[in-house]
Amino acid sequence: MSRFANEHLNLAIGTYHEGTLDAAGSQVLVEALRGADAKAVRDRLALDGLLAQAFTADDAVVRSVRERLAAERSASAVVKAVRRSLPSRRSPQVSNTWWSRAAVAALLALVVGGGWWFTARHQAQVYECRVASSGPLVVARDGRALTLTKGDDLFADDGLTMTATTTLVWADGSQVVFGSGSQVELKRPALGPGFRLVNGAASAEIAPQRPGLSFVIATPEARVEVLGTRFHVQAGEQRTRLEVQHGNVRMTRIADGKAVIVGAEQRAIVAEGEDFTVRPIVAATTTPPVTAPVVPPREEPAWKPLFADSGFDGWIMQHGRWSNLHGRIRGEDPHHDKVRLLGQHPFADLELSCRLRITGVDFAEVQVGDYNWFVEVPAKGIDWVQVVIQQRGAALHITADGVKLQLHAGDGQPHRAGPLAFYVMPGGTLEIFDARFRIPPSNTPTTR
Amino acid sequence: MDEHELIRAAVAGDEEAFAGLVRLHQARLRGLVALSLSERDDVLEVVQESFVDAWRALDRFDETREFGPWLRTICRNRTLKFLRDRLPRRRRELALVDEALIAAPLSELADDRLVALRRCLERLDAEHRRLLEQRFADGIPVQELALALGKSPNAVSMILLRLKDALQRCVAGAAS
Repeated sequence: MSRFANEHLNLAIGTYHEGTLDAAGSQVLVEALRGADAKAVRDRLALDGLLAQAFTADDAVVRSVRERLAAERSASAVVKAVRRSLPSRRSPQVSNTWWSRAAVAALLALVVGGGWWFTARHQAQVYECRVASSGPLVVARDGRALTLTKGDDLFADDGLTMTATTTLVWADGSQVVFGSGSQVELKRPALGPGFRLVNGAASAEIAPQRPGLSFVIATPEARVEVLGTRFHVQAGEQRTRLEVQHGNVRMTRIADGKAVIVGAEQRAIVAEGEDFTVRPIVAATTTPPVTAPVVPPREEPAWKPLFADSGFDGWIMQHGRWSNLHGRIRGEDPHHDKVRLLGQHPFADLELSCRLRITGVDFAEVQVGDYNWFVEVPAKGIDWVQVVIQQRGAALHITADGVKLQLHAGDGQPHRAGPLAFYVMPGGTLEIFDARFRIPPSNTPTTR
Repeated sequence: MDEHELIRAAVAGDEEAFAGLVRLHQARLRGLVALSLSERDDVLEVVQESFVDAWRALDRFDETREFGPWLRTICRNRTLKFLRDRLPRRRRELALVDEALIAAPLSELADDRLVALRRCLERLDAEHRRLLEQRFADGIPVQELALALGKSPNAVSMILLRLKDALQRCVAGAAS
């Protein structure tokens, strides 16, 4: 291939991935994919996608398939229980005598009871989400239409039609309020939790997600990917509109794969003939449509980002060089010396969730209460580690990927309010992502 | 358990054994799907659906045959379905390329490319690896990366292009 043709091909590949491919570029790529070098061209075209995969943790796929199979098993158990509880069409043939009636009744009770037991045993872990509002909800499940109400569980592949404003709550506390008339499919658009909004409006408050996963809402025109935030999305008439109240959301246009990051107080629209750009929410557009729901007040305190979208307001870059790109923090030292990021806010009772990636050393330290206590978070190569801190009164509990970490004494004093700090030994690099915190109500009893 | 034992247990309905098969084969499947789809979540969705299809069809799997090729056939069908379903919603210029992708042949050892790419990435310095991750995994636009790095967008594009060229050569070398 000549250098000229090669450059044309590179340009076409670049614009294909950006979604800005024009007719000439399209022709270049189509001809190349039909030509003698088709395999090589395909390999070049695939590199962007492969790179995205190379940075995605393997465990995420295994976990998602497991959860999907478990959800499917439970949904099928529910359907079986419903079917088995229906009267048998063949029963008149055997119900002429008292003993056969008794036997049928006993068998039915056993089967229904067994079905309930089986269902109850499995539902606790594997339901997708649960109905949290009192209005009835029509659900299409395995070819049947069921009417569910508050407290009922919903499973993968359920098709929902909201006859009234409906609130669904996910196991992680994420909450979505759907407007009346919304149509939703509980099919996960990616590995993490999520749903497909076929039509209608949804206001969501999403809890921080596990490493490598994000809560995804797919509409016919767009994909909305969130890592823990509050926003409103509306789909219908070939138009999807997203308004973000807190946090960051990535919105991808299906038509061309173009993605934008929509921040707090910003909005973006995917529709033919409209610019797909991020704009501030202005007064005229902040009023939700008539059918749009409003997120009701929650008993739980809201999560807040630990870091701003850029810069280090409220933090001191005590050692090393630190950067903040869309709330993704990275610290290292050009001379391979130690790095430390010290907060200025004196936290007392606190719940904190963040992902850490530690490279170059075996562990990083998270320090609590002005170096009163600290934990060593073990490095996991290129994988992220989910760290959760819960401090209430004198009780301090810190986990890494769900495993409790041993507390080490810094100053070793009784509980005191103080700033957080992140520290890595010389030669290490620390990245912090999706760091969120909330202050638990002071009168909430501790469960530890 | 080795793969044959995992297959036998999975066919008998053992979900844990099937999870073991997912662990063994997921990287290859992701590599295979990424040859046709560049969006990270699209690839993951297709791979997940492929494994679910495989689980449902396990009772029809002939245990005397190899599991990997059977799984890859399921995955290829899922990928083609995804591409075809998406066509009506794509811009015409992109849809034409997607159609060509559906018909285009796959390179040899196509499904080992992800493993090879990861090895090649390990040879890069941390700064370059991070730049690639921010651009391709996190989807941060070149303009924003340029701002953060204090470079011009053209300079960042050029660095990315060179890195991709180097990786392409490295992966091709590994495959051959």
